[in-house]
Amino acid sequence: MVKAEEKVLSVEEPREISSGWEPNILAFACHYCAFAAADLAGVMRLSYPPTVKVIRLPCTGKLDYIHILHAFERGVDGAFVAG
Amino acid sequence: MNEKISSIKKGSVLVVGGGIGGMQAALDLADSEFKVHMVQKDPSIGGTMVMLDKTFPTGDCSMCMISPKMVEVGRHLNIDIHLLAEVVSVEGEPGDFKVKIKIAPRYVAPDKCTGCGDCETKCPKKVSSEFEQGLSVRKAIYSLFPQAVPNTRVIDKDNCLYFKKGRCRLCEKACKAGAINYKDKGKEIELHVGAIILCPGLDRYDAKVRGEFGLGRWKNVVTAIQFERILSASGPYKGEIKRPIDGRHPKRVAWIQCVGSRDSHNANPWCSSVCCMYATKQAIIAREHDSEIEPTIFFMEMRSFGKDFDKYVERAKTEYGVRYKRAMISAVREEPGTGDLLLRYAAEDGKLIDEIFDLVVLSVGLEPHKDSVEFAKTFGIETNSYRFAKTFPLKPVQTTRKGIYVTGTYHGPKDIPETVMQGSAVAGEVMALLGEARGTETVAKEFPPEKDLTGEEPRIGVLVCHCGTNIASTVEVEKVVETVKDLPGVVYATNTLYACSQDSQEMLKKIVREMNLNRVVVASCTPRTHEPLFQETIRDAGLNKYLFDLADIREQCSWCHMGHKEEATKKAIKIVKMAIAKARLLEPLKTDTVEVTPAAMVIGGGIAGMTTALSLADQGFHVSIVEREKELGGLLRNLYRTLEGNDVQEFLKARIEQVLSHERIRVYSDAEVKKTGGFVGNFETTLTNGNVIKHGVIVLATGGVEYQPTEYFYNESDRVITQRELEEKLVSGENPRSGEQYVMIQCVGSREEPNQYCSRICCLDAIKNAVTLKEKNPKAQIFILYRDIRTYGLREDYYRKARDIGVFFVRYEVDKKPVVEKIGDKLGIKTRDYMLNKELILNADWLVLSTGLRPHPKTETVGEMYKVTRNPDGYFLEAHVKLRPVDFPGEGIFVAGLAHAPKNLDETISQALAAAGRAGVVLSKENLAVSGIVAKHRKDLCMSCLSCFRVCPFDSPYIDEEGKVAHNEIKCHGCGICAGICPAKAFQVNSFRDDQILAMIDAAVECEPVIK
Amino acid sequence: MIIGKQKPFEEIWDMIKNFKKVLVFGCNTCVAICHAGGGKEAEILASMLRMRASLEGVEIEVKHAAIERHCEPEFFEPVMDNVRTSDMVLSLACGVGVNFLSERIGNIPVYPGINTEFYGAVPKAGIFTELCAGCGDCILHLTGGICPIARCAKSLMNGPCGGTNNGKCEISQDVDCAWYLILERMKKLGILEKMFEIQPLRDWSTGMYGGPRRIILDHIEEVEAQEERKGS
Repeated sequence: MVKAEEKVLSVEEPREISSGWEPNILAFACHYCAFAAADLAGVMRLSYPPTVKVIRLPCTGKLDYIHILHAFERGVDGAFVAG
Repeated sequence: MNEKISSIKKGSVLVVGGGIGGMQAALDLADSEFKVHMVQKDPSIGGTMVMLDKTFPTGDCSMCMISPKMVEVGRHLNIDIHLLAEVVSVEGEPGDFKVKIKIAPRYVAPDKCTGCGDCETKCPKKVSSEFEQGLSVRKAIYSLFPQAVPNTRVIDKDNCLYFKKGRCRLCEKACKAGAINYKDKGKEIELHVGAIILCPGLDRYDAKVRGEFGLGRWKNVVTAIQFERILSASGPYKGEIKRPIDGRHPKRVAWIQCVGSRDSHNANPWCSSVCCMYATKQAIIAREHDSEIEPTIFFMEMRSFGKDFDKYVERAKTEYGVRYKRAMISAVREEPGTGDLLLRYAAEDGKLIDEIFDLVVLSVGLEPHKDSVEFAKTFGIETNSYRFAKTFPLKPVQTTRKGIYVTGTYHGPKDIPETVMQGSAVAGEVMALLGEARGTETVAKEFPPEKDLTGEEPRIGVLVCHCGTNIASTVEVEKVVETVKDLPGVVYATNTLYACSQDSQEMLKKIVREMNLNRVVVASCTPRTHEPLFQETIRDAGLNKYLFDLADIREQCSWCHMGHKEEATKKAIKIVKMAIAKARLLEPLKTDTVEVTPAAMVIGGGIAGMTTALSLADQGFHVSIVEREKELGGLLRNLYRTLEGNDVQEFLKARIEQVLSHERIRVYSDAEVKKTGGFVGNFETTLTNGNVIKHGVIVLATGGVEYQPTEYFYNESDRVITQRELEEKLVSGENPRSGEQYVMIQCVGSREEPNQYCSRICCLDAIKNAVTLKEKNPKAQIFILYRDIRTYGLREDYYRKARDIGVFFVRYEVDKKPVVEKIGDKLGIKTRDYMLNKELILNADWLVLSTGLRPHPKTETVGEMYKVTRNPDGYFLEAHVKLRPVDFPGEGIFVAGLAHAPKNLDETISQALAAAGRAGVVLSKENLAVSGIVAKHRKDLCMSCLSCFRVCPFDSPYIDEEGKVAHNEIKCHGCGICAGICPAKAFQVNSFRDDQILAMIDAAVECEPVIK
Repeated sequence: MIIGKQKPFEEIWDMIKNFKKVLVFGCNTCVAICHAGGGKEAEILASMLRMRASLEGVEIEVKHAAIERHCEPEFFEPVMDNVRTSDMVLSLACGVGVNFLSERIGNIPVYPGINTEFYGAVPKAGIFTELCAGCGDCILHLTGGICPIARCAKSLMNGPCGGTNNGKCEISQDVDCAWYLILERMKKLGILEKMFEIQPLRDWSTGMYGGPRRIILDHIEEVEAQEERKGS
């Protein structure tokens, strides 16, 4: 599966990035670590693009391929899995 | 134990100290139906562990581990935290103490403060931060650290402009909750408790005393705790490793070990136990942060004596290129104008070497608090000569006053897992002391019946929080409300100043009832701290608590996007929409309970098993001990004296006596476990002798065995013996002759592949026997050939004593081991003396091998039976090496003693008591509640492919009587790994179902263009 | 169990790219257990194909479905509408399923999305090993329960070849020498002397070399046939 996925990505031609374009990124974060880290980023007032949104999982082991693929199909530009 | 000292015992406990040890004791006790009062000097709980970046030997993030525990302590219904508090006096006796506590003024009302931090932002006064070790500043109104529990701010009166100059009051103006109270006078309270636990923690050695190291003089000399803060992503440099003097990235970094430790002339004589490991950790983490860094650790002796520590040091050397130099640094000097530091040390050949470093870290040792003697007096306990609490090797957590216990570094220097272990151990001791008073002072919350939602469409209420200005200054809260109020399913949306305040909670309940809501979304801060609060509130309003979702628009929105109002508002709307999308699909979840059989089974009748059994029996539970041999006692039967001189056999005899005569303990000797079944609270075990036992917990105390050497002619000459055999000789009255030469070789069968671990007992054994020999005949000659002498903690005294009375210590390297040959009746031993830099030839009458420990051969089969994993050396692997040192991932199974790792007798006793404490938590409950967030298994979809069965860390999927995969939700932790791997999609995790996650994804991307 | 492995994505893409309505069709038995062709993999693959189509700028409707087993006709009924409205079916079943479906749906092509590999076991999660070759004339009673047909690279019948190397096969250090295993196993069983009995030349026609095989259980087939006659 993984190999196939790599291939599908490799065929996409790099496209011109128009100015002001910000990637729309979905983060899938483990409740215990990465979600806590995202909180800490806030507590420390670290800034990152507001187009990043976090979906909390009980553990990144819960993540399914289809969640990421669904997100890509719906048009997110990047998925960030952290746990 | 179980002395009936007073007829009516109190069901409450005072825990003095809010570090990790105190928190563990408090949680174990409160979870086991005791009321806990925690007294903490600081404005927050957390202690030392919260200051650490990562922990050895796993490199786990310290804050990530302790933070959930702090939240748990902070929210526990039966733990009262008294901050800025100190005990003034203690009267009474075990079971009924009267304690007076003085609480300093906080100037911020905890019941009004929401922890939003608006006051802190406005405070104009900057003060050097104690938490950041002076490397950055805080305000005069502050919280100790970002994740502080409670998050209530405190005014530092000595630095507050209003208190000093009578003008300012900006914090008062900033606080929309009206929590600032300059007139706070503090108070004194009186408590009645049944027992007291002391865990005040530690101070670090003040390295400024040792002027030659240049701390405070050379800016690029920092203490290890400062370096922890430098490494920390939430620290003063945000995890970037920089030199304090110029912010440059250092390349050559040196650690100087034993600063303030192992120095009976100028500093503390004891070994601080943790510095070798934390320096190794810091070197590794530093390298991970910045691969350009070249770490060098200057040490006297590498004391990596704990479980898997030697492997960690080995990895530091081979994988991270950490350079270990066995040398004492006499002084640190700064190269003028550069900030670089010059270290001078003697190489192994005696030549002096000067080496330049960019940054020097002083591995400062641990010591008791400055006021520890005064502190002891307040409690009426004695201290030892080093100002640590006085305890006894065979009663390691009891102080000199009955009913008062000690845990953590006030007992002696130790690392986190041992502190946690002792935390559970004192909890076990207290449970045994106060067993009958369980539940007499605790409270439980009563809730109205849950509303039945059958057939109802979602009716969602949305509450968007301003959090003072925390959210509202960046996110247009009204716009969020306006945008979401007409979404499908939403019937009510409003905003509030502080969602978490008492009046908002009441308002929420009222809305739920009046609007007939059946789902609630609050948009405010993080669910990690605040979800339970809101869940409780909606439960109070008659809704199932899982009909709630929290949209984090503070930590994950307003705080990260300050100054970007439009985008932040857009994002907040999206986050709330995602929560609403999920909320529409939320279902009420049933939280099942299972009954608990209040009995324990202990496998192994050695000292660990017996100690656990006695403690549990004293707590009031029935205990079965299963011992495969005919007699109880295990390895301890071969041990006669402790290092400190206690008579072990007498102690063992008394212990066995106690066990055999205890009305609640039954011993099954000459028996093993044949079959096991069940789960936490409900195990059933069949023994090889046919007995069937029902029990609620299992303690694995299967012990270890001594290594039987094959090295150095052990099997060929009766002049070659082990330390144990020597001890037996000495006990049986044999005395050494004058001039008789004993040569001891350390690390026989330890610290080398395939047994790359320290057996921990051998150095102490050797020193114990060497001292006895010398005391019997000072003219006996004793040589100890060693790699590193590991007399950690206060045991260092005995090493010093041995040297003082003339025991010779000669170091050898593992690749140049001593060479032994038989010469007639004697043994010729050749080894290199690195001090003299010469070949040393000894002519020994006796060669004594310090042989290490191995796990018991049964560990493997027992491990397989209970599906508990073992480390590469064959010892049981605990659930978490730092915070769950006696638990296993599977609930209801605990470990104690040598089955876990090599350890000394006092440590085994501590761990056994800890296992009893942890087991007591389970057994004290009539019913165990099962969380609603579990994986649901659909047998009709399942193909029994075993993927889940194989990957589940908690063993909750199992093969049922029909031979198909089934799922035990009681064991399930809801992690969802099963759902991720299941090819049949037969698992869905409650509240994290696929449809819910996909709905959130859809909501997150609704306006985004689909790829064209 | 039949072990399959999904074909490289490019190969699959090449198969479907000229169609307009594609059904990715999973089978929830053997190939689902080996995480290659169950309903879950069908859903994943369908999603990937849709994205590929959109990247290539072609309009292809990709749906997915799955049934219990692709080797018996009754299971297909509930999804036949879906199948018939597609103009191509990408089957994730084993080769049996592809054949079976092909014969049944007339003019709609059925293409294989997986390579059917072997009959195997799952000793550990994620590991699949070939242990049987389906040769039609089992000799496992003679070889200590370890099959030289499937597990010896040369399918030798009378002991190892000269390439056996400390228990490993000459083709790879990761492959056990089947005959070494057989020997060890026979030692344990105390029947080592059987090793010296020479096995005669083998009749390979019982395997696929003798043409496609078919088994008819008369007692069941007969009942079925009667039922059918009654029905019609």
